[in-house]
This record gives sequence, structure tokens and C-alpha cells, in this order.
Amino acid sequence: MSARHVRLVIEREALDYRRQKRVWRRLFLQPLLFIAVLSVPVLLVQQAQSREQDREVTVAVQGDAIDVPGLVDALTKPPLHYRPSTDAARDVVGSAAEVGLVLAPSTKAAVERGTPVPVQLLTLPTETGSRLGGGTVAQRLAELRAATVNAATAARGLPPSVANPISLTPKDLATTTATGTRFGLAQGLPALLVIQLFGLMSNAEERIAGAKDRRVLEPLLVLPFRRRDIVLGIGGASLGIGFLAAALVFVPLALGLATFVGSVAKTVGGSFDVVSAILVGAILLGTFFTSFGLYAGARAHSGGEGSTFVTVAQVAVFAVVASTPFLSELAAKGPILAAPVIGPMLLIREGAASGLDTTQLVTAIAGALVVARLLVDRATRLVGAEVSVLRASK
Amino acid sequence: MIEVDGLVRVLGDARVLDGLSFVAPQGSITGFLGPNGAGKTTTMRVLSTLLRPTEGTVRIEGHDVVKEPLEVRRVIGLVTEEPSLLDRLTVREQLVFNAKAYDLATNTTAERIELLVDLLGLHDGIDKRAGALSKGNRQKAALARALVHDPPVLLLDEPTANLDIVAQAGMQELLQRPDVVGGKTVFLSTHVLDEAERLCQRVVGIVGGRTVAEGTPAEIVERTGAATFRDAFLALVAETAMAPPPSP
Repeated sequence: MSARHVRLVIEREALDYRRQKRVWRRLFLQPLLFIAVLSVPVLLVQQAQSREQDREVTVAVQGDAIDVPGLVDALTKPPLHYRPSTDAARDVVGSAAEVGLVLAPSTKAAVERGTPVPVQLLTLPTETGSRLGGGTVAQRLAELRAATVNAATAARGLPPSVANPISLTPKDLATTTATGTRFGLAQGLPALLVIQLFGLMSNAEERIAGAKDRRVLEPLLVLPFRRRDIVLGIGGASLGIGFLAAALVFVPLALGLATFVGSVAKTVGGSFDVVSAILVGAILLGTFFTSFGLYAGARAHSGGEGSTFVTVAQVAVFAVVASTPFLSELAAKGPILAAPVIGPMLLIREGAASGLDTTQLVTAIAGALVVARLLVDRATRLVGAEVSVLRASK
Repeated sequence: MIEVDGLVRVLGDARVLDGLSFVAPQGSITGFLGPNGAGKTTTMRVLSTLLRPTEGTVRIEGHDVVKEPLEVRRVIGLVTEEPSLLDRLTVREQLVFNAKAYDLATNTTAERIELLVDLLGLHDGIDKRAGALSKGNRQKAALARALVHDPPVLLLDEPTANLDIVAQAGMQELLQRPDVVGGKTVFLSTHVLDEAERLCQRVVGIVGGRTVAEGTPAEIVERTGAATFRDAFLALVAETAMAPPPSP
């Protein structure tokens, strides 16, 4: 390999890239559009949940609630709205109420005997209002139960800890701690990085297959350069431009995500693990996408053939990205770390969540290098073969 | 000098070149004539190391195209039917790139580019992006790129085929000028007989991947007994078409 020849090709390609608007659109705009499109449903769900949480919850109560001390009061405090009913189930299904309570006819007798009162809680989980309202009613009933127990134990001269041995305070780690923020980031980062670096595959493919269409590959091939130097030069320029775009687009994006997840500045800015996971993952993903694009371009007779091949490959990559939420049980260790796309994605998740060890890094880097080497070798052979200068018909 | 001996190239099921042999002497313009599909472009691609021969040997300036492809690429300049320029780069940027590829020093590069701009009349186009040039100027830029490292061998694959009549005449005039191609071994592939007769000291005729004639235009006319070079060449093509295929 001649480093000088590779550098010359990189400079020439970079100059051409700089003046090619389509490349900038693909590398800068496309990831932002993807992320915007993916964000819309998430934002809509969040908005709907927030709206439902603030909304009044009508509770259709079937039976004599008045027989249970404190029950009517508990069900009339906002956001709950008490509504007597003769058929609570019909009211819930017919959207007249979000939640239904059915008290058995034996309620009064049960209260008098001091036995538990049988109550059915009716919700329609497919409706967000009903699902959230059900939780609110259940919590209100739990509070009523606790108040009743407290009063009973106090009447017997017992300390409150007999009724409530545990004082429970829920805490959302995702929004209140640096570690929680890291876990939150760990779920989103791999997919975002893949989306950001996705365009590299098409770019590298286009630089070779498109060059065949425009007949500008042949003048490169008759220069006194080794084929490998030409392929590496084209790949190096694609990778460099891709990383530049990633640096400009992804860093603000990751910071934005981090801010969204929680108290973040010290997490993203200060955490070496998160930053190194992003860096290593980006290099591994970028190297794979670029070398695959080089191979796709070299094997194609024309730009159209190459882009069809890349589109099929991109569908496969999307399938991997889409399956990320189902891979939480998959540990980031062993040979799977060496696999293209999925390995770096696991590595990023692991690195962002809890840091990386040397074995994980070595396995992932070695795997990516071997795969990239095989693809570049194949691309080099194909660029030197007749597929580079003959039309598809031959 | 270009030496081709028993060149065979198979593409798929087709034997596109079938034992082609010829010599293009040093310092002269050799025309490479043949009808469409005769194998001219395939031969040019083998000479320029873009395709490997299936059989036979090809030597350029003493270098074997299979064993020493890098040395061959150092001594050739190639102009194809399409100028094959990067549209978004200026002509100067592309010439500088090629000069660097051939290890020319910076001051030598500047001198060569100025010389070629003068010789080829590229003053208006040198700092324009190639995509903004006329077809004729694009082909001149391609010729400048092939000449920037001053190669001893110039391979021209139908360089006037896509040009209008004025641009064709301009390109042909350039190829006749000693200050442009003097001292070089020029191998000009064309199917325009008049162009070959006017520009070339020697011609090689190819039909069906085989050599059908080799010599000066006058020798070929004399050998066939035809009145003109055009009639002589057409007679050779017709003769070959009627001849039985060679035994394998």
C-alpha cells in the first residue's frame, strides 16, 4: 500500500464531495429527518399520557358505596369523580366513565361482620384514560385501606409501624441520577448512531458504481496506483466525510437526548465511558458501512445495480435496529460482539450503560477489522476485474 | 513501441479478440481501424491494463501488461471516447491531480500545465469546472490530462467519435502537430477511414478480433489493388466476412 497514493485519492474525492450537494443532504439532513419521523410517535404518546394524567376520572360505582366508611369521600376527591351506576361495566365500555367499581350486594353485611368487602375494579386497558384512571382509583383505595388500618391500630394503642412497617417513596432514576441517565442513553444511542452513519453505505457505493456510470473510474484505474490504494482512498474520503457529518449532527443530538432524559451535563460531558462508547461504536459502524458500500459499488456494473443491492442491505440493517428493544437480554460478550452492526450496537449500549472492559473492546474491534478487510479485499479484486469497465450486458 | 502477439480475450462466451498480433512502432502514429464490434475498445482496454488478456502477450515500451501493469501505466496516456472528467472539479485541479499521481514536481507540473494550455488552446477552460465545458473542450481537457506527465505512449480510443465536425477538425489538427504528439508512439483507434489515412503513418486493420491488415495506407492500397484506401479497407472487411472461421 502507498500512503501517498491513498492520500491523493482521498484529497480528490474530498474535493468532489465538498461540491456535491446530494452528499450533504444524505449525511446531514437524512439523519435529522429520520430522527424527526421516529420522534413524532413518541412525542404524541407522551403528550397523550400527560393529557390523560391531568384529566378528571369518572368512576361509575355499582352498589351501595355509602355502606363502606370513607369510600364515597375517597372517590370524590379530584381528579376522581363519583358517579352512581346501575351497570358499571356498560358505562366503562360505553365511555360514560373511565373506571368502574362493582360492590357486591353483601357489602353492608361484610362491613358489619368486619370481613373484607368484595369489590371489582373495571378498566378498559386499550383506552389510555381508563388504564391510568384505574391506577389512580387503585391507589386511592390503598390509601383508604391504610387510613382504616391506621385508625384501628391507633384505637388499640399500637404504633403506626404495625400497620405500615415500610415507608415507600418512589424515585425515577432516569431523571434524577447520572447513572440512570446513562442507562436511558444506552437504550437510544446505538440506533441513533446507526441512523447517523447509515448514509456511508450509499455514499461509498455511489463513489464506485456511480463512477462507472459516469466513466470516471477508468482514468483512476490507468494511473500507476495499486487497486487497493484506489479503493482505500475512496473509502477513506467517504468515512472522513461521514464522521465530519456525525460530529456536527450527532454530538448536539446526543446532548439534546441526554438533556431530555435527565440532569445530564455531567453525565455526557464528564463520563469517559459514554464518550468512548460513542467514539468506538461510531468508528466500528462507520468502517463496516463504508467497506460494505465499497464492496457493493465494486460488484455492480452500474449505479442502479449498486443502489438496489445497498437498499436490500439497508433493510436488513433496519431490521437489526428495529429489534434493539428486544435485545436487552442479549449480553455484550463473546463472538456476537464481533458481528457486523449488532456487535457495535451492543458495545455502545454496554459502554454507555456501565463502561467497557478490554476483552469486549478487543473482540469488537477485531471482528470489525476482519469483516472490513474481507470486504475491501473483495472490492479491490472486483475493481480490477472486468465488471469495472464493461456494461452489464456483457 | 507497442508489441501485441497472439492476443486473445474472451468475454463471457464470446472470443472478442482472437489471436490479434501487430506492432506499433516508436515515434509514429498507428491507426487502429475496424468496424463497430471488431474488438478495438477491448484491445485498448487490454493495452491500458483495464482488462487482462486471456492469452497472448502485450508489451508496451518493453513492459508486459500482465507482469508489470504499474510500469505500463507509467508510460501510457489514455484518451477515450468519453472525456471521463469529474464534472465538479476544474480542469486545472484534474491536471494537478494526475501530475501528482505521476510524481511530477510542483514547478514541473505548473510548467507542463501552462504548456498544454497553450498547445491545446485551453485558456478559457482551464479554471472552469469540467461540467461547464463544451464537448470539444472537454475532449481537449482529457487529452491534456493524458499528456500532463509527458508519456512516451499515447492511446487514443476513438477520441473524435462524439464531437461535432468543428471539434473533430480541431482535435485532428492537434494530433498532427509535432509539438503535441511528436516523438510519441500514438495508437489511434478509429472507424473513420479518412481520419486514419490523414493522420497515421501506419494502420492496423481488425475485423472479428483478428488482424486483417498491417502497413502504411499506401501499402494496403497497393496490396489490395483498390483505387483508394477506403475501397481497400472495405475490400479487406468483405473478404474476412466471407472467409471460413479459423479452426480452433
